[in-house]
Amino acid sequence: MPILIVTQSLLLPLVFSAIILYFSSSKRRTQAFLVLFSWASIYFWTKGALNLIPGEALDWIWVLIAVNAIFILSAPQQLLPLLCSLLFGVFLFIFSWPILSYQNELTVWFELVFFETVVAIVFYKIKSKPYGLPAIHFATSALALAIVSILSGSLLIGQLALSLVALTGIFSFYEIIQTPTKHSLYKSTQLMLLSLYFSLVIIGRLYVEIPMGSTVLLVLAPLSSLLSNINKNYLIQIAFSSLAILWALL
Amino acid sequence: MKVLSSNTIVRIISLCPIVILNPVAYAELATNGEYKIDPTHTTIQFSTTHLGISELTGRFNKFSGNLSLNRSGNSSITVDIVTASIDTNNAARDKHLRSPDFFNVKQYPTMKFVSNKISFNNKGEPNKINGILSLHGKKRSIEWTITKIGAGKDPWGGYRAGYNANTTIKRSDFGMKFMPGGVGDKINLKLNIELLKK
Repeated sequence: MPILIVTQSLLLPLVFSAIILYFSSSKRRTQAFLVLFSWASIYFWTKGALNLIPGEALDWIWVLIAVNAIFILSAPQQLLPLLCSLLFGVFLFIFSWPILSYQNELTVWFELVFFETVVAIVFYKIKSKPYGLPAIHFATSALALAIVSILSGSLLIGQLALSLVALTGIFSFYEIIQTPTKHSLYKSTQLMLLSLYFSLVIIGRLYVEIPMGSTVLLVLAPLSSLLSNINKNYLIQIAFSSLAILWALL
Repeated sequence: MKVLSSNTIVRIISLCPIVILNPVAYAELATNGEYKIDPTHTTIQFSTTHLGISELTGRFNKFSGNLSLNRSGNSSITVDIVTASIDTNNAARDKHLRSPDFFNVKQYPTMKFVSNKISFNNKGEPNKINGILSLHGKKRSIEWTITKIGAGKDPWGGYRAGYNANTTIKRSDFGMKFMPGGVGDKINLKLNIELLKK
């Protein structure tokens, strides 16, 4: 059992990470396609079911990134943040519909509007930054999400978040050993990975009841990295991620 | 005023169960009519294997249901179970079972059984119930084996009937496929039902 979890959540995504880095160093569209393929493989193996017709919120994630990939393959690059934000807004509604259908409360709507606003700002900031969000920053947030999810009661979301860490693992390592730092994840791929990350955070909040404080910190962690001073932003990122875990522990 | 001796008090207390239980005729055939589940005297349990080496038992604490017993016509039973009321005597495990990893109680707050056939033995007691179990967004046909426990008037003027029901389902049939090695696929369901005539 532990071997299966490690293989599903770490080894397989790490192998995919290496393949993506090797085959897509100068091909934006190939990278997007490989991330889509990798995620779908990891997701179906981890969940243990090939739900091509989505039934649960988690099943809709692979549809979200499939549409994301189609945008990356076909839409003009400058329009991607806007398209991905709008797409995420639609899926935010789809993710929350089973709950909204019987618990149509103002607080739920408020949370959804907050999530969508932050996601739109993050996607816009990715576009405006020279290299977007470094892979190591993304991996740190995803690791915090994995720990918070497991603490809150979902091993499945924790495993999927952990697989995001491993999926960007080789890229993070590549960034660390490069001098000066070079980013090898295309901005379009970053949008895809962030869509995955934010989807898991929101599904965790809605279906596993991740504490509100942890959720806000997890959503703001990538934004803090994009907004803050370039020399200190990783420390701020770590602070947000650590606080999210601490909040879940309390 | 005369004070009762302690021996007298003990005798009175020891006679109480006899006085209370005496009106119930356990062996009689449950009469036809409309019944509802008495939640305080009913348990809905399940058991499955953990890592294939031991058996773990849990229960659901919130449920409701009705039985329409009519031996000469159509009999039916419905049971609604609140999935969030799962209780395995471990808060962390219960949280995990409520999550999208298993029951996904936020999306599927209830599970429901609706019978489509109740079979009776030659004594007129129900012995098999067939019907549809709706769980985790899936509907599957299942069959319960029924054992009658008793029926009769209770000390408060009501009429009660009790049955045990057993069946085995596969969680994978209901789309719950996570952690196949850790949690057994076969789930034994056991209902100890007490029904109160309306």
